[in-house]
Order: sequence, then C-alpha cells, then structure tokens
Amino acid sequence: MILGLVVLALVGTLATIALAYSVSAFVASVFAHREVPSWVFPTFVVAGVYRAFQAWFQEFMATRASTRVKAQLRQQVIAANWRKPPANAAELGVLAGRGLDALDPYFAKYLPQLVYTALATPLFVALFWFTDLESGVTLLITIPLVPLFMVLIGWATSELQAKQFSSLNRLAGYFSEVLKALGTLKLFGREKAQEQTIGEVSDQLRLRTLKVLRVSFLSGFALELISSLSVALIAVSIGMRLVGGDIDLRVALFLLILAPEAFLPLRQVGANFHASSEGMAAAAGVLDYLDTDASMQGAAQDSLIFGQGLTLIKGASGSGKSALFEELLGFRAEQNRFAWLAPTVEERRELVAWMPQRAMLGAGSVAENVVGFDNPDFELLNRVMDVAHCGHLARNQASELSGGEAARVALARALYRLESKHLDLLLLDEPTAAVDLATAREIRTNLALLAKRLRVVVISHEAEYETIADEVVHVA
Amino acid sequence: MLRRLGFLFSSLQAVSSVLLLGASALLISTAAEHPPVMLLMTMVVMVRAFAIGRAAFRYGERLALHDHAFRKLARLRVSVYRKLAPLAPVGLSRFGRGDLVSRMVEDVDEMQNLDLRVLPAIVQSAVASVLAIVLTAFLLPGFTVILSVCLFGSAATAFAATYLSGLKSQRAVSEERATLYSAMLDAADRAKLLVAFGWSGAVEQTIAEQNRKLASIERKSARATGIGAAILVVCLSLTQFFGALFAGSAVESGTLSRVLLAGFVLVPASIFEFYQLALPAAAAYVRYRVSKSRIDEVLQAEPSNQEGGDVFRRFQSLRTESASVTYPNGLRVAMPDFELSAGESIALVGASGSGKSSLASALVGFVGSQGVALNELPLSAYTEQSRREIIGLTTQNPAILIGTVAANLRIAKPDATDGELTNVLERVGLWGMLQLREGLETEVGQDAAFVSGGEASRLAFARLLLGEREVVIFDEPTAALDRDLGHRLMSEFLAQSAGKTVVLITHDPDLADLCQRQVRFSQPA
Repeated sequence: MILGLVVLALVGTLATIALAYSVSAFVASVFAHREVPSWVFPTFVVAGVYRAFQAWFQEFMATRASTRVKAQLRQQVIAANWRKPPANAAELGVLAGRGLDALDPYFAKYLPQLVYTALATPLFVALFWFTDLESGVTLLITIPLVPLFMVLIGWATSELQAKQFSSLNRLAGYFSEVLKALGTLKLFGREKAQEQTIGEVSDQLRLRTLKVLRVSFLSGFALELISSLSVALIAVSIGMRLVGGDIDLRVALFLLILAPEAFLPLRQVGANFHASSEGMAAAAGVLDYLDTDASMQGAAQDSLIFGQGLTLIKGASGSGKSALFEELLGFRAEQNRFAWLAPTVEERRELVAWMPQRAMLGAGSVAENVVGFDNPDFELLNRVMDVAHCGHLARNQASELSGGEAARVALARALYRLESKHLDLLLLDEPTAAVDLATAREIRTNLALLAKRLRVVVISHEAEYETIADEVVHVA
Repeated sequence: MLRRLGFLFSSLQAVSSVLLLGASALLISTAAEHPPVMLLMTMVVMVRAFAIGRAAFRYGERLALHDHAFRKLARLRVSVYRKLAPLAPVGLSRFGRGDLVSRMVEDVDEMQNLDLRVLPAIVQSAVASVLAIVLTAFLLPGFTVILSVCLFGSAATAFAATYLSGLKSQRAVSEERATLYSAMLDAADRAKLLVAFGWSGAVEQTIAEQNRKLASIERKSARATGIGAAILVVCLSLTQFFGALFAGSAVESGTLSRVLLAGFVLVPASIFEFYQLALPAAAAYVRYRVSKSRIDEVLQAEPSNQEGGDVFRRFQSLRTESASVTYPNGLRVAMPDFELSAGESIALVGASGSGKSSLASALVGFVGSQGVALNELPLSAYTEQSRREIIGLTTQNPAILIGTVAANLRIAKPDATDGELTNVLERVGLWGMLQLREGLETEVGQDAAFVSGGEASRLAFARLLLGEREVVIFDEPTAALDRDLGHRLMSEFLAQSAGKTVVLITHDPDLADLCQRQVRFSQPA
C-alpha cells in the first residue's frame, strides 16, 4: 500500500510538473514566435490520461486497504470478545461497527495526501531552488509558515473544536431524548409544550454552536490567506523581474503555475487529518480494547462441589451468586473452586448448560433461539419448550417477547443444550423471577423432576425453592 | 434570507477563484511585455483582492449556510416531533423493526447536508462555468460552443456516472453495513452466552462472511466513484487542450491579444476544482434522498387511534365486556370482564402477556380497544388528551430526561413550587440522598449519576404523585425496587390517597393483597 502510494505520488508530482512545463512552454512559444511546439499536445494528453488513471486507481487502492484493515480489526475484536467479554458491549459494538467505517477517509484521503505531501513538497522546493533561486528562497521561508500556523491554530482552537463536537452532539441528543420520552410526556399532557421547547433548545444550541464555528472557520480563512499571500509574494517578485527582463516568460509562467501546487498539499493534509480524526479515535478505542489484559487469576478458594439433585444458592443481592456461575464458565477471576469438574474453562464449558440471568435472546424466532447453531431435533425441541412452558411461543419473534416469556425461552435453550449433548449439570440463574406465580410453580415441579436424574443448580431468592432443594448453599 | 446570502457568498467565492487565476495569468503575460509599472501594480492589487476575497467569501458562506441549516433543522425537528407525537409510544414501532427513534434522529441530521454540501458545490460549479463561458464569448467567440460542451458535458457525464452508480451501491453498502453492525453488536452483547454454548466459532464465521461481502460491495462502489473522478480529469485535459488549440491559433491569426493566451489554458483548472468538490456532493445527495424518503414516510403517516370529541371530566366507572386491545401490527389481546368504580383499589394479576399492560395502554390512548367503557361510554368517545388528564400511568420503563430532578418532576406539574417537589421526593424516600448532592438541581439522566433502576422508578413514582390524577395505574411499580421499599411505598400511597381510584398491575401477591380486590387475567390462548 505505502509503496504503491509512493510510486503514485512520485509519478503524480512529475505529471503535474510536466503539465506546468508544457503549458508554460506553449504560452511562451506562441507569445514570442506565434508558433506551437510540436511536443506540447502529446505531453498534455499523456499527463492528462495519467492523472485520470491516478484519480481512479487511488480511490480503488485506498478502498482495498481500508476494507482489509477494517475487516481485520473487526475479526480481531470478535475473536478477543470471546476471551474477554467487553464491559460495555454496546459501546464496543458501535466502535467496531460504525466507528471503524469512519476510517475510510483516513485511507482514501489522509494517507495518500500525507505521502504525496512528504514527497512533493521537497521536490517542489528543490525545483524552485534550481529554476529560480529567489523564488526558491521565498518558498523555503514561506512554506514552513503553513504547518506552523496549522499547529498554532490547532492549539488555540482544540478546545473549541471539542466544544463544537459536543454541542453538535447535544443538538441531536436532545431531540432523540425527547422522542424516546414521548410516551411519558404524553401521559402528563406535556407533548404540546415540548414542541416549543424543541425549537427553543435547538435555537440556543444553534447560537452556541455558531459561536464556536465562527472561530474554527476563521482558522481555515487564516490558512488560505497565508498560502495565497505567499503565492502572491512569489508572483509579484517574478512579475517585477519579468518587467526588468531578468527572467523569461516561460520560466515565470512555469513557477506561477506550480507555486499554488506547492502550498496545496500541506493544507490538504491538515484538512484531511480532521476528516479522518473520528475514524482514528475509533481505531484507537478498538486497539485499546485488543490490548487490555485478559489474564484472570484470583485468590484460591475451597472447592464448591455440586452434588446430585437440586442445589439452591442463596444470598443477598450483590453477594456474588451469579459470579459463581461466571467463574465456573471462565468469565471471572479463576479461584479454583470448580477444578473438580474439569481443570480448564474450555473443558468445563463443554460439560454444563447455563441459563443466564439476562435472557440474551438473539434475532429470529423463539425456536431458532432455542436450537441456536446446534443440530435441530424437533422432537426434543417440543419437549424442552413444554418443560419451560413456552411451547405456545415457538413461532414468535424473540424480540417481541415480554421479560417473563424471554426468561422461559432462555430456560428452554439451556434444557435443549443439556439434553441434546447429554450433559448432566444445569446452571440456572433466577429461572422464575420474571415469571408469573402459576407458571413458576409448574416450572419448579419440572425442575425437581429433572433433578432426580442429574445435577441442577439454581440461584434464586424465592423461598419456594427451599422445599425442593436437596442442598442449600449460602453465599455471604 | 441567510440561505440566499450564503449562496451569494458561495457564488462570489467561485467568481473570485476564476478571476484570481485569470488575473494572475494576465499579470505575468503583461509583465513580459515590459509595461509601465503602474499598470502592473494595478493588476497586482487585483490579484491580491481576488485572493483575499476568495478566502473571505468562503468564510462568510460557511457561517451563513451553517446558521441557515441549523435553523431549518430546528423547524424540521419540530414538525417531525409533531407528527410522531400522536403515534407514540406504541405506533412508533410500525415503521418496521429497529430503533425508529435513533434512525429518525440520524435521518433528520442528514437533511442539513443539502444546503451545506450538495447545493453550494453545484452552485459554485455552475457560476464558475457560466462566468468562464461569458468571458470567452467576449474574448474568443469561436471557442464558446466548444467550451460549453466541454464543461457541461463533462459535468453531466461525471455526475451521472457517480449518481447512478452511487444510488445503487450506496444503498447496498449501507444495507450491508447495517447487517454487519447489528451482528457485531449482538456478538459483543451476548459474548458470554455464545461462548458458554459453544456457538462463538459459528458466529465468528458468519461475521467473517459478512465482512467479505461488505468489502466486495465497498470496492465495487469505490470503483464507481473513481470512474467519476477519472472522467473529470480527462475532461479537464480535453478542455485545456482545446483552450490551448483555439487560443493559440487565434493569437497566431492575430484575433486575440497574446496577453490573454495563458488565461485560456489556466482558467479551466480552477473550474474543475469546483467540479471535483461537487463529485462527493452527488454521493451526499444520494444519502440525502434516502433519508428524506424515510422522513417523508413518517410525515405522511396518519395516526390510526380512535378518538372522539367528548371531554372526559370525571371518573365514575370502568367496565370491560368481551374486551380486547388491538396493536398497530394487528396483534389482538383479549381480556376478562370486570368492573371498577370510583374510589376502589384493584390489583390486576395473571400471566405475562395476558393483557394487563395492554389495558393500561388502551385507557390512556396508546392503543386502540373494543369493549372497554368509561362511564358507560366506549373509550373512543372521549378525546385522548382528556382521558390522560384524569388517568395517570407509570410504565415499566419510565423515561428520565437529561436535566435536573426539578425539571423531570415539573413535567407532571409545570407550576409546582419547590416545596411541593421536596414533599413528593420525601414521600418516595429520595430527598435524603438528594440533599447530599445538589438537591432539586441534581442532574439526572443518561450520563449523569443517579440512574439506577430503583432511583429512576422512585423518581417516576414521585412524578405520578405530583401529577395528581384521579385514577392512577401502576404497571409493575416495584419491579426495580427491593421488596420492603416497594411495599412501604405502595401501602403508604394507598393509605394517603383515599378517594382515588387505583389500578395496580403486579406479579407480587403480597403487593396485590394491599388492594381491595383482585382481577385475574388468564394465560393467552
């Protein structure tokens, strides 16, 4: 990618110079002798065709690099995600999804421009230096002003830039807040009053944002002024020497055409840097996540052995009941409480079926959620759905279920895994907390039945489980 | 007004740009003829004026157009809000799956790009082209037609290529991206489950497949964009070539002054600079159209709620008789027959999905219903607004807006005094902890502290108390609270609100026992 960019940039610079040379030679020749040099038009055509190819190829190459990097990062995030489930899944999902797509401008614009600038700017300075010493010196003095001012303005406005983003975000954020709260607002008859407030808040935020924009646009104004005044400085000096006959028209025109080209790349690097900053931030966030340490080793504790029958785990909320299951499954610091089951987490995961506290249903129908990526066995599917009291929901979309219904589907999902893989350890985290009393009673009966032939471990604060539990574990 | 000013600046910027290059070329060519210095100085001043003008007009344009776009956005937000308000909250789901609200917010934001990005680029390209053609008509009439064909032909071809290919590929790209985003979000959200069930490998493969598909579509789309850019460069070279050819032979034959020659070769470059800026505008226009069609869909939607003209003034009785509630997606939920008179407290119990919450939604006008009568008249006889003024409801997920505690409470009663606010906060047991912070001015919502589920539902409880409705419906009010607190709040409320009609939806039998009577909703058939 970089080598390709270097070649493109080098040939591109040469094409620009060739075009400037042929235009100036053409004008000078017609001007002085009223005749067109024969080589001018072919050079025109060749340089033009090359520039067209470059415009197309650069976009193509940038997209290829960008899609490859994005896909790689995403694949790495997903792979890492299994080892260390993110604390904030929504944030990571957005960062690795929409966030990384903001990298496109980085590859399509910033990187090619950076390479081009790094190569073309010294080439232009050297060219000026050897063609016309005085212009070369002027260019050498004025060109550093552009990055210098860019940095200075950047420093002066960085706080404002941040403010601009935050107030633009608030503008959209407020609107989305109100739309989400519409139901509540209607209940209190406030939806009409809010109409006016939306307008007012938008207006206040508009004024605040414009105040910021006034300054940040000013920096663009300053940069453009610096570069065009620098070009003017060169142009006037050339013009004056042209009048005195110290320089000929061909050289003068050549320098005049190239002078803005010498300033342009630097300015565009700055502009493109801003365009790619969002993607860079997302990439930094993703790399941060990939770099975080996933090693999990905690203080060793005594084994916690689950025997045959139904084990009830009790304890106040926040005492770490769910954490027990998470440790067994390897999502928490290893404290060696479950080495008796199997020494490694990978082996342990193969041995248990788990119903998490949050149902965690995916897209698709209820039946698809229960079977997941395992082999479908419809007879078994019907059986476990009946045990979990969700047989009537099989064809519903999982996203349409209420909390209690989702919990029952999550139970069915754990049962399906248990039976289809012939496992003998079922871990249930608050299986009936969200379910109505009558159904909960029946589910408990089914679980007690199941506990006669295998190990069922239930985390619950419902007193009813104590009557069917073979063993009760208190977590302090 | 601002818009016109913005486009005026936009046009002047284009004019300055073209004249800057023209004047520079003229300056150098004239200098070669060794003219008096005064003439040259005049030209130097002109060049500087155009250079400063170009930067200054750009500054003015950006400011004016941003100001205009923000104003327009504010108006659009209000009108979208006005359309969505009658549909909320249930009807908002009928525009398809996914989060309508966040999509709507993004679509509305997209609308500013028409005036900020699309139109200025097109206006500038047009102004620069017309100026060049007019100047040519005066100076080199023979070249006018060729120049016009070159300029407009290249613009039309490049934009048609970008727009047509963009339309299809842009849509395909955004669809594929949406699929990938939700797959990634799901994988991150359910990571533990997928690992524990041994499904992580399969999900990883699916995502890899989606990644490959997206990459190939993005590449296809990039090839199309690249073709537009390449067409423009070819056309620029052609225009310069013809400019040189015509102007060169005109100078040879003596019909054109030689000092003007350089301008004909150089000026096209400044016009094509605008064309190149306008190319991304074509893609932005495609995005604008997609978002606009989605907004229009919402703006044209008619609310389907039944609403009558009667004003509901006082609650006397509620009666259901073979009643059912109908959702916008056609789902019907039936409910048992029962009666409720003023001053009673009643608990609705029964399986989830049996229609308890649906009845509550119907009473406040969020969904349509049959067989539900208020004061012996069907619900649909009354205006929704008047029903909500008498009947209050706390939903299972109460909305807490970003802002202060006071602002959130005053949603229920805008003119409530600080004393009233403190009073209700004391009743729900929040005032003690709020005093440790900034009292009524404590910031709540999204990023602020004070957002635990329990605190949010207590705040919602306080809001309902402040609303002082005759009939109060609690939908699982204590789900996010610990048992003891929930009981205390409910029993205190019932003790203090004699004369009010209370409907309590709950799974908790102890809570239901607090009410005078219970109605059991049965499992849906």
